Amino acid sequence: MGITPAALFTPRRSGGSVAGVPKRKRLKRPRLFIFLCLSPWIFGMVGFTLYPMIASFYQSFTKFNLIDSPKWVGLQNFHRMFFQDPLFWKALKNTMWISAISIPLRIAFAIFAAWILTKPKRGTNFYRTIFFLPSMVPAVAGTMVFAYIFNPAYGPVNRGLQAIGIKNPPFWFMDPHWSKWGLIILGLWGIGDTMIIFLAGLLDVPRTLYEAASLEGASAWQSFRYVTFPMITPVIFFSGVTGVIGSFQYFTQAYVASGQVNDYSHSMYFYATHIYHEAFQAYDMGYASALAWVLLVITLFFTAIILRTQKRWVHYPNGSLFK
Amino acid sequence: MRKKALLASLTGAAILLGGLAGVAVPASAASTRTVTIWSNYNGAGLDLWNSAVARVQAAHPELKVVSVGSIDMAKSLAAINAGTGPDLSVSSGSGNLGWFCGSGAWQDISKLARNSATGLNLTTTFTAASLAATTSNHIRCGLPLSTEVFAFYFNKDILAKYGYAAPPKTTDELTAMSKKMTTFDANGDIKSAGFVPWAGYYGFAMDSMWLGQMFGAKWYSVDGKGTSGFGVDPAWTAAFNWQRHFIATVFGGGDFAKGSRLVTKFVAGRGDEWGTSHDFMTGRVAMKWDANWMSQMFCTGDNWVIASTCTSGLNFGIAPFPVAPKLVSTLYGAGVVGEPSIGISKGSKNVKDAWTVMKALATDTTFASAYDSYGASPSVLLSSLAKPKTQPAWYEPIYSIVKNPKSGYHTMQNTGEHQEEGLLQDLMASWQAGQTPNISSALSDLGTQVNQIIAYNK
Amino acid sequence: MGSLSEWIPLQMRQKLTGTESQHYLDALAAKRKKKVNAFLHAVAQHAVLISLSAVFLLPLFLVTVISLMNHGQAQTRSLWPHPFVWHNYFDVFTAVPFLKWTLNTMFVSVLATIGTVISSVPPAYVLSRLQWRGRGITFIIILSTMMLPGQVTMIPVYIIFAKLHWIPSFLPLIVPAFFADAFSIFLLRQFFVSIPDEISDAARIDGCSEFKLMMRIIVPLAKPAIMAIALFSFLGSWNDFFGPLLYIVENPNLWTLGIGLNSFQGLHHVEANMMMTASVLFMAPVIILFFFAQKVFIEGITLTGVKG
Repeated sequence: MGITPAALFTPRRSGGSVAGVPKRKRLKRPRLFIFLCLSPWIFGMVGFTLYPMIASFYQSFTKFNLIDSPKWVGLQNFHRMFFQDPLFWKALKNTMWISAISIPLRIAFAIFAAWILTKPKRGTNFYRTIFFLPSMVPAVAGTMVFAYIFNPAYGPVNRGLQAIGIKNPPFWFMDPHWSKWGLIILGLWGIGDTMIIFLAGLLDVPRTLYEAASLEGASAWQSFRYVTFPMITPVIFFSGVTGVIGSFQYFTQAYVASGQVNDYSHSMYFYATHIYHEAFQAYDMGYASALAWVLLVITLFFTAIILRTQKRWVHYPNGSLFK
Repeated sequence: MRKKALLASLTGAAILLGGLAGVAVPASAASTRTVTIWSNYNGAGLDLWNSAVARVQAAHPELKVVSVGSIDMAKSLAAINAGTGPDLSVSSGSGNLGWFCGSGAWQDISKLARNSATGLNLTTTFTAASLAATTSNHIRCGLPLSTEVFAFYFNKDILAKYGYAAPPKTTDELTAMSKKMTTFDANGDIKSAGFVPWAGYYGFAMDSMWLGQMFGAKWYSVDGKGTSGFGVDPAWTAAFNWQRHFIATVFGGGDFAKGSRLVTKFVAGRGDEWGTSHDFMTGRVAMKWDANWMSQMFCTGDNWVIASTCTSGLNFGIAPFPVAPKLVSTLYGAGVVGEPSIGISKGSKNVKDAWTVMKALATDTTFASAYDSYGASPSVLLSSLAKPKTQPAWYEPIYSIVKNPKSGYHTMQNTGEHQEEGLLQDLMASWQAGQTPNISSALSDLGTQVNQIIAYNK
Repeated sequence: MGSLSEWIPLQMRQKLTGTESQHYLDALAAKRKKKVNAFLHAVAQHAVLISLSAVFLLPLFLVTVISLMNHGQAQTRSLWPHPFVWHNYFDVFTAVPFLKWTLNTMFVSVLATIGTVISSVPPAYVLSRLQWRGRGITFIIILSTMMLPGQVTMIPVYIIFAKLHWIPSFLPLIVPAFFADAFSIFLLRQFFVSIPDEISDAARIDGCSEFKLMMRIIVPLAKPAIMAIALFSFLGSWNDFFGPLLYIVENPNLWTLGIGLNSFQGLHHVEANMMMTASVLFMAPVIILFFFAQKVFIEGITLTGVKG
């Protein structure tokens, strides 16, 4: 991965090294340089992360419409959220449902696609390109394409389904019971970016292990179950965590798709949609901030669960998560 | 010591500059007799509005009248509530009056109107329906400016083909006629429909409002209080049950679920809204609720050209809404008419001057007729000068609808922009898809929800 | 499966006799069987790969096909244009301000990319090529900001921009890019770490200043990683919908392609087929860019080094 121009290479000195600086000779640490290099990040961190987090926490206890100054209302926003806002529960339910289904499905499909890519001897690059391509496509364009192909009246998908004998194919985005499945399929189409990291993980599994397994007479499934799978658990862990974080922020595809059809039952209304609606359509910034903080708590909760259990099922070749 | 002083003054300067940079209000005029007007007119409409403003300015040199366009209503409302709003603002969408009025953002102008010297005789100036639509909770807080008219369109050729000379007057006739005119293809899918009472058929989100209009259903104040009428007025249940019966009879051969499925598919395959592939233009649907400004497109195939003789080849007519049979004598002849309106903000420093300007703008017949021609927005002024001289004969029914005293909009309350309309529309969509088992209890829940919203917004 | 010797041609069989040759024959036969099995496996694998590829490509194929239909045909169930309306690709520029949308998107994406690169390289550098107190904690903080849901900071950030009167304008989409991006820092840091320490040591001993070391030696070595974050940043900006939705939607002159495409239905004189044409044009630059730079993309993703 890294480039090693031979000309600049000098033999390792003795005495070990601590992350770049040989022990025996410490050059004066360029404090100012370090600070200057970090300053864009520091300012960004303070201005775009730290301050907004504190501000939004405060705002979640206020009623605030952007032009008025915020009016303190204590826990009223949270009371409304849990007891008076049916859309909150609908959005939360939709988000949990789609997370519970699509995260494992995506991981499984990514593993399968990556696995099948490791098999052939020739042409892997070609297939890999094709598998990866849809994940590059802008979400808006992809969603519109799928809205078209899933159209109940003239879309090719239903036409194909009818041709193979399914009499009443689902109305996909236009049917509240099927719309989320339509979104899941759209998401699986863009599996490329997840698949690539699994591909890297699979290729990293030492061949010696497979050879040892086949010497012991392991079948293909056993070799997968006892050699491949444990070795890619770090990737699964990583995908799981990023999947949780990402799916709780799922917005664009749902927003565009529900705009294309009449999503009256809010079947494609997710948590991020609700926050957007409350903040920028109802201009209730205080309430939206409260919603955002509840989202943060929920996300942390699920991430913590995954982190907690990782010791039990994630196998690290180097021993632990942090080197 | 010096350094500290320097630092202090630099900090002070920085804070000062920062404070100046944060000032958002446009520079208020030096003169105390300024009247500011915000609207969301833009483009050529704004030009017409500004000409009207100029005329007012010319007539009142002692005032300074400032008009700002392209400001959306949410912003105006927020500014008014914050105390930094204009003297006058225009709610240029139907159905937003409650938003401004119910929240107290607009002042009650009935006293100003009644003033013998500077007032205005409302009943001789504006149509009765528009006056009703610009009160909220018995408070008169706006003057109507122009309109958006929703009427019933029908395809004369298709009606004639099935032996009908006139459009339906009652909902029963509508059902019977539609059943005759609806055809199916070899797969059993709907090929052409007589009429489609369906939330979301074409983009308006007003289907539920039109459905309610046919049954005279009340949105608010059934009992004189400002509470929601959804759970209280039986006309709503009647309206939705009629819709279900219609779908089952006309499309499903008695089977509602089948009819609902077929209509969903039919709607999914509808032609483009803008242009000659529109279902009404191709004959895919024979009768339709729609806005007055769609008539241009039906007439010439081009959305912005009004012509006295139509070139599109579509032989269509405009009529008032069919109504429930027992309401024919009282309600027939009306449509749904929305009024953009203008009002005085609370906290305005120049209420008297604002009223002068507002009165002048609302009675400006030049603006009214010009805006009608430009934006297909008939005026509510009773004066004949407010109507453009050159309107085609086939367009006349729109004017009759405007003049009908029952042609209003639902009464207004303090909810968000079209908020209760959206909720009702969602309910209609859920009901027509068979997802709502009990319409009465659903309507009742909706009423409770709307009342909660009103209470929350107070 | 019968005698293995079936796998060996008759002539060969006749030439060889005896136990030794029997072993040889068996070995040869086993090898041939293995080859055939391998061949069958390969066929099966390629079959699966090809069908999967077809599934992945199908939507792209369909959208291209529909983009070439006339508007009447796009809403029928036909799957092949009759006739081919190449003109759609010109018409889309007159039906909607497509060129303006494209230029806007290009402008924002390029500037944001530049900002990301120049602001993310230095932090990544000091996090990997220098040792200092607090380095570990800083890195962990950076990592944890990647886990933060955007909604928590979204509203106050919006308010900051509103108070600065930067809404609607491109500034909220460009300026934050100049304050470094956690993902880019992370990716660059992973790469920098893999460059041998000796290179830095040698330069420092020679009296090279840290800044020069970074710019003249390390950065050129990190070209692949920098290209990767540049490409990711460009892609992220090009595809971004939520940012423009928040900050520029009020001014149609500033619309980017995502917002423009999403509003297609509401615009007059635009039909389903042109929506697909616009979609193709929206996707095309990214797809072309990808074809030329796929190695960089893919290596970039794997650089995130799931193993730690």
